[in-house]
Amino acid sequence: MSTYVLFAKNAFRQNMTYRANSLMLVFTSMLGLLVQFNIWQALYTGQDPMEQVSLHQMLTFCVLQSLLRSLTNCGLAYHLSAKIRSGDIGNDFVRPINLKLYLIADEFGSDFYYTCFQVIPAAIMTLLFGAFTPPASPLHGLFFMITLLLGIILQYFFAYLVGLLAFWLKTTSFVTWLMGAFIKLFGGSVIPLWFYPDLLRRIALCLPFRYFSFEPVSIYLGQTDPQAFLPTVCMQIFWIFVIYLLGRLLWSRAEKLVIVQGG
Amino acid sequence: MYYFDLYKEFIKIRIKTALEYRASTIIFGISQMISYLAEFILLWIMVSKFQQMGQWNAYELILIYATNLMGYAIASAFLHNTSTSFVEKIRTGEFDAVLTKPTNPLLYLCTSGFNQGYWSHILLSSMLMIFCFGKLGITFPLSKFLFLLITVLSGALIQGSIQLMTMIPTFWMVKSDAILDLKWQAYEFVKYPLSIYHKSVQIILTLIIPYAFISFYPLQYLLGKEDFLLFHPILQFLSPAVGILLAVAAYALWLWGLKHYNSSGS
Repeated sequence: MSTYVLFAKNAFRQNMTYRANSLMLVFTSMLGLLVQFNIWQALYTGQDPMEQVSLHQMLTFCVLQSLLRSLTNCGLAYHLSAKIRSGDIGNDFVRPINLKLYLIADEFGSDFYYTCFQVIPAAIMTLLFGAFTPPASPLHGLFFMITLLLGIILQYFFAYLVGLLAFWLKTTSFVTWLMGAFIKLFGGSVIPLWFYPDLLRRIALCLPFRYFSFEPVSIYLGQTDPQAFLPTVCMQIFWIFVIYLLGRLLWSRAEKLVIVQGG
Repeated sequence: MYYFDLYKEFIKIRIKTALEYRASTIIFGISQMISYLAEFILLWIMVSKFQQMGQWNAYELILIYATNLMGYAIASAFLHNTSTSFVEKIRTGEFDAVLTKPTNPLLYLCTSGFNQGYWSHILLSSMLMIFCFGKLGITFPLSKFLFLLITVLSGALIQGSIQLMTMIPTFWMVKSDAILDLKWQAYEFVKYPLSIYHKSVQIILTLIIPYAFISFYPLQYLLGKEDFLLFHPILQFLSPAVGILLAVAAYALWLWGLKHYNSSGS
């Protein structure tokens, strides 16, 4: 395990060499949050308070989602498919490490680095707009942490699965586009599912994408009832298991596909 | 413009290449369309839940974004490949080879790097425009249609000029990702009506990075909006002027960059 922690640390350090880039990142992500905040402010002005979701809760939703998005930025699918297409993957077959864990550790190291830089603008904007909302209760806070962790695992496993498709498809960029579209549309991380019209919400409820980051934040804000906490956790574990098995299946098929020509 | 036919030929070659790989061109185009459609649906979900954002309803907001996207697509067809491969071309010395050709280097890069993939953006945004104008019950006499057409072309000029300007530092700097990032983030602002932002943002997007002229001001006129705020309503008609001015400025900057460019020596 400590090997993989080292991989993550390395990825973190690698990014530290681009300091100017990171400073710029603070600035641009502040602008991004400013747009989000202004949109929701404009939508909420002249409205009756909606469905117990206050403007401040909505702004907190945006902040938490932006942090989570950078924490699970997941270039993993992209990097894995690039490895497969270039043939680099052949080397990974002989290395004495678990490729999946290595990829996740590497990706997490650099995502974590970027998230550290997102925290500053997030904090500044939250203070400027006076929009800090604490977790609805200590219990909500606890389950937020649990579902958050599971959601992150789920997203990394899913990205790995998408990346593996490169073994069968000549180009994977269109899969990334499509998956991105589905996750955006049915994940509820851009617009919370509370605001969805009936039909779209029903579709979203059947798909795993809402467990990525929508459900954790919904728990944080107290929009989910405590009796729904355990079912949510169970469903997350269920989906992690399903996606894990699918990954195993694809990987074992792929192993037979790979032909190494010389060295 | 001596070699106009030559440039036309370059574009034709690029399109023919795409037609050669028909299946991949179509699959890729459709996935991109779905991806953008998802954004439009999200915009629609958000605004229709709250009825309006500022004084703009869901269909009007989609029009702002669709007009934006169409201008972006036209500009990017010429400049996307050009700007993304420019760093590499300078590093490898390929750009120096371009300079020895008896053509205009910028036109050569734009046409030989023509990206035919943007047909999907243009198709999607025109369908959305027809749908939304229909839903809003806006009738289109020829004059208004021409206004819209000029708006889209001005938008393309504005976005193209800014893409070109972001290429200039590449003459001397190897890594200029940060500038590109900033350009994208500024673009995020103009998907929504300018009137929802703080005055400082309105001033910046009107006078410094004039993205507001791509679709916000002209659509104010087409849709009869009156959220003027800071500036005079005459701005609604100034998009073509801003586009041409920016294009001249960008080209002048490009020539200046070219003059002071020393090859990397490789």
